[in-house]
Order: sequence, then structure tokens, then C-alpha cells
Amino acid sequence: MKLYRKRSERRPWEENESEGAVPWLFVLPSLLAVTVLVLLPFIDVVRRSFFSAMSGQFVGFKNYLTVFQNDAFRLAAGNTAKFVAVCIPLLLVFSLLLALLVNAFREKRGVFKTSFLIPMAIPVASIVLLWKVVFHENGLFNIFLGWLGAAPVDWLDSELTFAVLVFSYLWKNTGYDMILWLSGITAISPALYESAQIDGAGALQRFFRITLPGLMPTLFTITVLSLLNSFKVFREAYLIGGNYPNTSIYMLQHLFNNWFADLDVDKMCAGAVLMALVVFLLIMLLQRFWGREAQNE
Amino acid sequence: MAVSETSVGLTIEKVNKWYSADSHAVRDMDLTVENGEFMIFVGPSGCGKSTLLRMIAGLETVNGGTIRMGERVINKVPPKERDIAMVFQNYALYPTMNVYNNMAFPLKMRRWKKEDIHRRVTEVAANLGLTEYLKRRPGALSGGQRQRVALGRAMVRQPRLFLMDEPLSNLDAKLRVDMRREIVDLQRRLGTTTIYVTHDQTEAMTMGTRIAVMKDGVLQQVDAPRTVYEKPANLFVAKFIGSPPMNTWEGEHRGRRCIVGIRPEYITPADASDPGALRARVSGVENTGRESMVYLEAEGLPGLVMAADAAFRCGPGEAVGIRMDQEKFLFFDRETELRID
Amino acid sequence: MKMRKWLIGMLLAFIAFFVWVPLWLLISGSLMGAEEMTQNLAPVLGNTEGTAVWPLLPMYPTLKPYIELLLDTPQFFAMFWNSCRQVFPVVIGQVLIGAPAAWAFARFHFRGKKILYSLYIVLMLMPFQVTMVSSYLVLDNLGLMNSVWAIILPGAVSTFPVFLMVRFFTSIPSALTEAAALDGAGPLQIFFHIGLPLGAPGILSAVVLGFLEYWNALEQPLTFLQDKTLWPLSLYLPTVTADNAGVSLVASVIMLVPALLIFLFGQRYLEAGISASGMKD
Repeated sequence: MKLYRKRSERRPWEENESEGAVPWLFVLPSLLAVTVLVLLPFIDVVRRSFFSAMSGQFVGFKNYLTVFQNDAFRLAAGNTAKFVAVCIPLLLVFSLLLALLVNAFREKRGVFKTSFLIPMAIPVASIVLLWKVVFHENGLFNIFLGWLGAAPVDWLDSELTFAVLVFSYLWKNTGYDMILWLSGITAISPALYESAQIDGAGALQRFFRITLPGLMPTLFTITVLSLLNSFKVFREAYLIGGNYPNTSIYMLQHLFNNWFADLDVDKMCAGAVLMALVVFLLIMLLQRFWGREAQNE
Repeated sequence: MAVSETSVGLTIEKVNKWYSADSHAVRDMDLTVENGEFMIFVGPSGCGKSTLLRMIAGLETVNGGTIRMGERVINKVPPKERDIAMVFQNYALYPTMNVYNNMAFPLKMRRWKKEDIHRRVTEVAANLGLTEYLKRRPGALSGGQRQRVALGRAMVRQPRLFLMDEPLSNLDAKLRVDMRREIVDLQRRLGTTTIYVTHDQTEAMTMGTRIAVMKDGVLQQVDAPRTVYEKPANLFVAKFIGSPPMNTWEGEHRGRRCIVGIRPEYITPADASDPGALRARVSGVENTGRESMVYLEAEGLPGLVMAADAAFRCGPGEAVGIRMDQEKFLFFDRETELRID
Repeated sequence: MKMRKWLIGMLLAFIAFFVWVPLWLLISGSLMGAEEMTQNLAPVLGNTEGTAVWPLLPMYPTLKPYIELLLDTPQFFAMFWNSCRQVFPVVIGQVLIGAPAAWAFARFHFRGKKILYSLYIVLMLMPFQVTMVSSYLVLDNLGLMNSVWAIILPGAVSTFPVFLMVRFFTSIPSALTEAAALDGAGPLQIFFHIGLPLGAPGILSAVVLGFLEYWNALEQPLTFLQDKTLWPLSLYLPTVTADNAGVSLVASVIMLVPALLIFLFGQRYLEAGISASGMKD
């Protein structure tokens, strides 16, 4: 996945090869739909974010200021940032370990791949009742903790709810990332391992000298796709806690929904633009750090 | 030679192709391919032969000059309207279609009637010995069979021009020799102008009516195989055509410093009593069963290769007498590398 | 060596437990009778004293909850139908609109292609929060809020399937399309005779991923559909209250079935699709 190409990579003669109007006929339906349904409205959102919806007056950055000063926004943005910062490293490491295990285990690999991928197919709505029973104050997990001598905790409505959310995100997304890692692992030439083995490199050395560097190009895309999926954890959060869950899992999507319910267009527009900016910058930043290594391949 | 009714000749004038400022793939190419001819483009990899072929096919744009089929300039004509059939290096068979549908595809695209397609495909398939494989997918065929399907797909319609891009390079050695003959026979029967790209100088020598030798995007020589072999236009052609390559060294010709060349088969073993014999030391021998390639070191000359009779026995380190057929010497200018008559 | 293998196997099996046990509990739970269910789960759902129990096998397994749901709960069918008529048009639309665009990005050169493709990638990475306001503005303008179109239209123009299909279309050897062009096929015929059959795995993986995503969708219906009669299963299920938890479990299982079937039949394409989205270009 590459957002831009360096100038030196552009091939000047490619323009010579253009095939007239034909390509445009293929892109047109999609481009038209995207323009009408996404691009133009988004431009309108950017415009609106500088105006007051009520009076229609230009207000400069006032909407943005309001959003920044909004306590709910700070809470939601903080929670979302915290969630991303906690979950993505956890997910990356855990799914990599799983991929390495599955890769090391040759027979029955298919069974395990299927096992770890199934959560992807399970609708959140189907599983969330079970999570509620598991993590309820009188639920199964507390019984288990009770055996270990710990006091019961209300996992569904306390600071710890955040942990439940992390768990359900990992539960759902590990398989997806594992497949991504596996495809990165299989892309490394086996000859490299063989020659390293002949040169006397141990298992650990092979991992750090061959596997890990070989996976660096994959890291960027996996991180970006995991980020993309992390925003969808709202589903679990909503199904566990409804519109106003415990403050520890109050996410940006909750906030947007509540603004939406109040038809608070000013805040929504400014919020959407901010969000787009942050995501865009984050991805550009990731690409600067890791994407470059992928390009050097 | 019977020339097919649909076949046309090809004229290439001042054709240029560059991919970027510093990568000039084809330079000022001038070449005429006669109607019904079997023309070979040969050269080392990167010499521009495939690019030229793809420009003729319409798969690459022409940056300068003109390409004409018959009288018509085709620079801007899209491939589908050129009525050219091409055999690709990897055959490019459609993997989701069976053999019959692969061969029927060009006819379907030309809106032939179903019965006509059926008649034509079965006829060509029978011709190529493919009848029993018609229902199979390309994936279930051997390399040689795939090659035949690719040929069949090119043959079902009578194109104006056949293009073949290293069609034999994926086959094993034995099959390659068989297919070589088969393609030549087919071409002769069909009488369709054919351009065949290869880097293999044996194919070039044995298949074409004429061969065009290219290097770095520049045409070096176009002539009948025998002429190219015996009267190479320059040092590059002399060394590229022929295996093992021509022996060359710096020498003198009519009082002028130049490069002297002689083909291995014109060096022969000589009796010790022969007064004109040169003394040389054997550094290695490769016996192919039919002949012996003897690698020699002689005073004042770089390493030489002699193509001797298989019966000629010698071993590394031995001293032997050799004789060079002075009549067969070729001379090349040291600066321009062009052959001097 | 054998020891190590055994250890890895055990470890993997242990992790797999975390998948299989919830799935098993879900299915076995759906076979509990209403009484057993109330008894077992009252501490959780009814907030009574004591702790919840979820037996690995129901004491008195019964199909009654299924019958109850399928026979006595017409609104379940309405919701199921809602899910279907929102998800299938989205997926079909994604393919119909996306496949030609993906073909153009993968196989043609045209001015502005790189900028346009980058734009598509950026759009694909934007979370729902970003696009929801703009989608709302359009839908509201078109008078489509609170209709199935409010889900279908924004879903069908998603750029992720385009990205995915580009990956697959690019991997078709160019010799094949060139051969077809020389055989007399025009751009459209090449697309239909070469692109679609050979890109089928890519299209299928887009379909599988798209289906799983939209079958599970929550944000879109939650914001764009005020009318509860239009709600899909994903939104309806959580509203089932404690006193018919049994029905809710059965509904969960039934909702799971299409997704699981698509997953099992399409796992190959799903894996290929995930891998393809991770390949570097």
C-alpha cells in the first residue's frame, strides 16, 4: 500500500501509453458515485466546519475551538487514542506470535487457521450476549477468579470495561492479522533460512536476522489495517454499554452519535475534519517510518 | 514459396523507442520484411528485439518513425485491428478456457458463426495433433502441447502476419529441436509472413529465410543466415553468430593494423611434418561425440578454439600442430569494427 | 524435536479453545429451555443474587427456543429480511461499480491515475466517523434518510473492495490481455473474457469480506435508520431483553449461520483477500 510515489519512481513515458477515453469509461461509474456520495459532501463538510449551521455565518475556527473545549470530546478522543495505543501493539505482537506458531506447526495447520479466523465471521451482536454473561459481576470470569481467590469485579461497568473491550478486539482481529503475518512469512525465501542454517545460525538468530527484517515491509500495512479495524470496536462498546457506556469506553463514535442525535452539525463537521486529518497524518507518519523501508526493498 | 493470400509484407522506417531519456530501446530502425518471408530477430537480451516485435504488434507505442503493413501505416492502429497473430514466450493461453475455447477465441472475437468456428478449430487441432486434448484446460497439458495450442490459436484465422516471441525457450532441448522443424514446415505451408524473435543463434541460423541481428537497439545486419555467418557485417555479428564463437585477435592485413578472425572449424590439426603448422598447447577438450572442441594456447595469440573431428585425440597439456585456413580469415577495422573486404 | 512439536500443538490448541468454547457455549446455550436458561442466567440477566452458570451441555436440551423464534416471532423474520436486503445490494453494488474501476486502475495507464488511486486508498482508510456526516448530508438532501438506501448507497461506493480487486487484477499476466487484444478483443471483451474469470478469486474475496463486514454493521443502521422496522439483525438482537434471553441466543445463532457458511465456503478467498491487502506493491 503506497499513498504516493517518489518523483524519481514516476516513469515519464507512462503518459505515452495512455489509452484515450477507455480507462475513464471503466472508472467513471465508481468515480462518479464516490464523487457524489463521498467527495463533494466531504468538501461541503469542510466548508461547513468554518460556518455556523444556525446563522450561516463564517465563524473561522470557532467550531474547532468548541470541539476542543468539549469535555466529552476530550474524553472520547483520549479513550480512542488510548485504545489504539494499547491494542495495536498488543495485537501486532500476539498475532505475530500466533503466526509463527502456526507456521512452525506443519500438520493440521488448516484447522488452526480456521479456528483463529472464525471470530472474524462471528457477528458482534451474536457473541456479545455471551461476553456479558462471562464478564458480568456475577458472571463466569469472576467465578474463575473466585477459584483463584480474587474478589469479584464488575467488568462491564467500571474502569476495567476498557480491558474487556481490548479483549474483544483482540479476540476478533487476531486471526486477520495472523493471516497477514503468515503471508509475509511465506514471502521470505526458504533458501535464506537454509543458507543461514548452513552458516550455523540458531533459531533465535534466524528469527532476528531473517524473519523479522523480512517482515518489516509487511509491518506498515498490518499496522494501517489494524488501525482501520480498531475504529470498529465501537460495535462491541455499543453492544456492551449502549449509548452512554462506562466512561472508560466512551469512544469518538459514541460522541458522534450523540452529536448526531442532537443534530449538532457544527461540532460533527469540525470533528469529522479533525478526525480525517489525524488519521491521514498518522498514516503518512507511519509510511515515513516504515513505508520507506518497504520501498527500499 | 507459396505466399498466403492474406499475408502482407512489413516496412519499418526510422523507428525509435525510448522508455526514458537514458534508455533508448530501439534506434533508427530501418527494415523491410518481404511478404511470405520468415524473418528472425536475434540479439543478446536487452537488444530491443522484443520491443520492436511488440511495436509491430501494437503492444508498445512507437516514439518515432513509421511501421507499415503493406501500404498502410499502422503506428496508431490498435492491436485488435492489425489482424496479427502472436505466439508468446509463456504461450499466454487463457487458463480458464479449455483448448477448444482457447483456439476458438480469436474467431469468436471476429464474430464467426458457430459452425464455422467448430469446423476451423477441429481442422487446425487435427493438423497439430491436438484433437484428443480439446476438452482439457491448459493447466493439464505438457509444455509441448501448450506450445501447439498457442500455435493453433495463432493459426485458426489467416492473419496477415505471424509474430513469435521466443516461443521455444520454455521447452526442453529435445522438444525444442522437433518444434523448430515443425514451425518451419508450418510457415512454409501457410506462406504467411512471420517474424520470429530469439536469442538462440541456432534457431536463428536454422529457421529463418533472413535474420536481423540487433545490439543495443541498433540493427547490425540483415541477410540470409549463410551470408551473416560467412560475411558478418562487423565484429559483433561475427562473434554473436556461430557457436563456439569466432576466434579473434589483433593482427595485420595488407599492412594495416586490424582485428583478425577465424571460425573454429577452419582451424585444423596439422602433421608435425607440416612446415606451415603452428605450435600450440592444448588447455582443454570438450568432446560432443560428433566433434571435439579443442581449446588451445599459441604463442602471440589469445586463447583459440578449434572444432576438430571427434576422432582427433589429445589431452590437456599436450602440444599439437594446427593449421589455419588463410582463405577464411576475416578482417575488421579496429575503430569501427566493420568488416574489411 | 517431537517434544517441541507437541508443545507447539498444545499451545495452539489452548489458544484455539478461546474460539471454540465461546462458539460451543453459544450453540449449547441456544438449546437450553427457557426455564433452565432463566435459572442459569438470572444472576446476570435478572441481577439476582448468586452466580451465573453456563453448562457445557444443557441439562434438558430442547429445540423449543428455535421453534418459538421461528414460529412466534414474526419480527425476527422482518429483521432477517432487513439484513439481507441491506447486505446483498451493498455487496453486489461494490462488485458492479468497483470491479470495472479496479480493472482500470490495475491494467490501464491514464493521466491522474496515481492521484486518483491514492485518493481511493485514503478514503478506504477513513473510519465511519469521518464519512458519517458527509453521508448524512447527501442522504438527507436526496431524501433517503431512514430508508434501506441510506445503508446501501454509502456501502456500495466503499473503496476497499476496489483496492482489493486491484491487487488481484494486477497479478494477471499482461501477456494474457495482450494475447486477447491481438486475438481481436476490445477493452470490454478483454475485461469480460480475461479480467473477470481470472480475477474471480479477488472478486470473491471482496464479496466474502464485504458480506462479513456489512452483516455485522452497526454504526450505519444506528445512525441512518431511525425507523426500528428497518433495523437489521445486528441492531435488533441487543434489544432483546432479559426475559427472552433464550430467543435472543437462538437469534444470535441463526444470525451467525449465514456468516459462518459464507466463511466456511469462502475461507480460501477470505485468506487470499487478507493476504492480498497486505502485499507490498
